[in-house]
This record gives sequence, C-alpha cells and structure tokens, in this order.
Amino acid sequence: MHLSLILIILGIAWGVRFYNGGAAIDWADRWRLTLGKFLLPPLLLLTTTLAVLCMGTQGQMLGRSVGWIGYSLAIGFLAAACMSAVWLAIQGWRSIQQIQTFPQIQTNRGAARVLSTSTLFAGQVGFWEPELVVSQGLLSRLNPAQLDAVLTHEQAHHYYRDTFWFFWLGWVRHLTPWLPQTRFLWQELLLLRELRADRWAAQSVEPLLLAESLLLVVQLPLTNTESYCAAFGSAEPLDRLTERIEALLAPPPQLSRTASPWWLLLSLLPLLTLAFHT
Amino acid sequence: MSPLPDPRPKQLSLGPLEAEILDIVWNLGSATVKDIHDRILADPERELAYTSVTTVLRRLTQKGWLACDKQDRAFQWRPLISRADAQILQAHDQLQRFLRVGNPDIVAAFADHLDRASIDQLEAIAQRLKAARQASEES
Repeated sequence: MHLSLILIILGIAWGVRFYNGGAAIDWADRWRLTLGKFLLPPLLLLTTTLAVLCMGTQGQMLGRSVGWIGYSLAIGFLAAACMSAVWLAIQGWRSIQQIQTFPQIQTNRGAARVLSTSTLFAGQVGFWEPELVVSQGLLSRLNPAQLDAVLTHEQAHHYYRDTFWFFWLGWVRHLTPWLPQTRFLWQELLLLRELRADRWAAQSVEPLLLAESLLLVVQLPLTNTESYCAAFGSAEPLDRLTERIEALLAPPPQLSRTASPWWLLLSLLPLLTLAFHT
Repeated sequence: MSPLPDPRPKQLSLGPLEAEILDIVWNLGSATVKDIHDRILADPERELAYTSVTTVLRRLTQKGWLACDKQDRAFQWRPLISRADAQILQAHDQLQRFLRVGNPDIVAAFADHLDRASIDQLEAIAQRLKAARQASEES
C-alpha cells in the first residue's frame, strides 16, 4: 500500500506541474502560480515519504498490507533530501567563508566586500543576513549614480531575504530535477525575483537609470556563465533582459503584498493517511 | 551578456616565465626563440638557457595561447589571443573561481547568464533607452 500511495502522489505531482492556471495578470499572480507549481509537488512527496516512514513496514492501510518496497523508497528519498540539504548548506558556508577573506569597504548603501576582478559583478551572498559583494571592475566602471542604482537593487535582495529563500528553493530543485518543468519554473522564479528587486529599487532610484546600469553591466563580456546560478545548461531563452528592461520602463505598478501561501498546507494532506493505518 | 572572446586557451593559468614570454610575444607581434631569448638576456642579471625558452613556448602552444609557423627555416611564434581578450578571460575566470567555491543558490546577483542577449537585442535595448533618456530630458 505504501508503494501505491507514493505512486498516487507522484501522479498528483505530475498533474500539478502540468496544471495550466491561465494567464497570470500581474507579478503577484505569476509568483503565486510559479511558486505553487514548483514547490507543491516536492513538498507533497516529502510529507508522503514522512507519513510512510511513520507507518513503518507493519500493519494495514484501507484493508491492504503495507510493504517494504514503498518504505525503502521513502527512506531513500528522505535520506537523499537530508544529505542534499547538509551538502548545500556546507557549500553555502564555504561561499561565506570565502567572501569574508575579501577586503571590506563602505558604500552609500552599507558595507560591501570587494572582489578583485575587472569583471562587473554585484551580488548578495549568504543566507538570512547576506553580505554585499562587488567587483573592483564595477566600482571603477560605473559612475556614482549607476553604482547607487545597482546597489539599491542588491539591497532589495537583502530586504526580501532572497538568498535565504532561494537556498531552500534550490534545495527543492536539487532534490527533484526529474520532475517535469523543474528547470523552466526555477528560471521563472529567478526572473520574478529580479523583477521584484528591480521594482523595489525603482522606488528610490530612477527606473531609467537602473535600466541603463543593467544594460551597461550586461553589455560587457559575460559576467557569469551557466556554471553559476541556475546551473541547468545553456538553452535559456534570450528574453529575460528585455523583460526586465520593459518592466523598468513601464509605469510603476502598485506594490501589492503577496498573499500568504496558504496552499502550502495542502502539502500536509498526505499526513492524513496516518489515520487509516492500523 | 555579450559572449566571451573566442578562441579561448585550453588552460588559462600561466607560470611567471610563461607570462613573461607571452608578454614579449604580444609586444613583438610575433617572435622567434632568439628574439625572446635576446630580450630576456638584455637584463644582465638574468640567466636563461635557450632550450628553456623553447620549452616554455611549446607549453604555451599546448595551452592554446600561441601558434607556431615555420618561416625561412625559423620557427615564428604568434599569439592566438590578444592581450585585451586575455585580460577579459582572466577577469572572467577570477569571478568563476569565486562562484564555483560554494552554493550558487545563495548568490543573488544584479545580472547573470540568464540576462544574456544577442548583439541585436542589446542594440535595440540601447536605442530604446537612449530615446527614453532624451524624452525624459526634454520633458
């Protein structure tokens, strides 16, 4: 019965990934839909395997005996999930250790670590309290106004704790690359994250200046390659930059608060099966 | 993102003598072993065997930095990558080494490879922004 339960949840997970929720109108709709499709299937699998682990290999469920195949699969999945989380956390810790060796400077937008390279780079690195890292090239090539625009964008990542939340989302991605559309949804989430940071920054700096700074940074030979960030190969669509620029040039939308993700509670439903186990 | 310069060396890291000899080849445009040897020994405090220069030149060729042509029974070495391109590649490599160390998911960068665009797209965006800037200054 454990195996049947896992297969049913896998079927639902596939269904969620292919669910077409209609055209999202604004950023909040798009975020909700993308996050739901990305997150719900893996969470359903996690709670199902947890439920199976709690039930063990003895007893019956809905009149059918539970077996060891499903139980072994559940243990394997949970062990992989734990090991993956620990591995990614260690990797993250290594990133932080590395940036702490960089010299620190004060900018208009707070302290920053300086990466000694002529390439243009700015990024928040860390978990809940990330540190700003900027390259020497960025400091020397951008004028003060452009630099301020870039750093304000980075401040938005700190404000929304993007590095922390994307650490966990990244863990989910590493755990379920075999689920359909994982790559597409991950890239969509990254785009929505950048659109939100651009929009937040555009409240205090001129959006056109931010767009010009973005173009300047992007025009220089590759700041980053696929080995970094959404490491999923090189077949990404070439329209993300255009979308960011278009969003910055468009009239500013209302910054509506994202509705609380109540639907995440749906991922707890597999735990109800514990009631049917005797 | 604009593409990286092409061709790229197979191996980017260079030892001190390799870097020095590559620098001489860049300065001369193309050079024979003798040209390079003479340049180095122009400093009276330096000592370097002729064969060492040949060895380093071969190593630079294997790494993809130089090409060797035979002209009038003399081997002529020329750079495959310009100094400017080498600087871009080395700067890019420094960034990659930093990013490779840890978990990329805890990095929220201002722009990354997902923001890459074709040259045509970049030009169209540049025109659009230029027009928007002019319009904002006129109003």
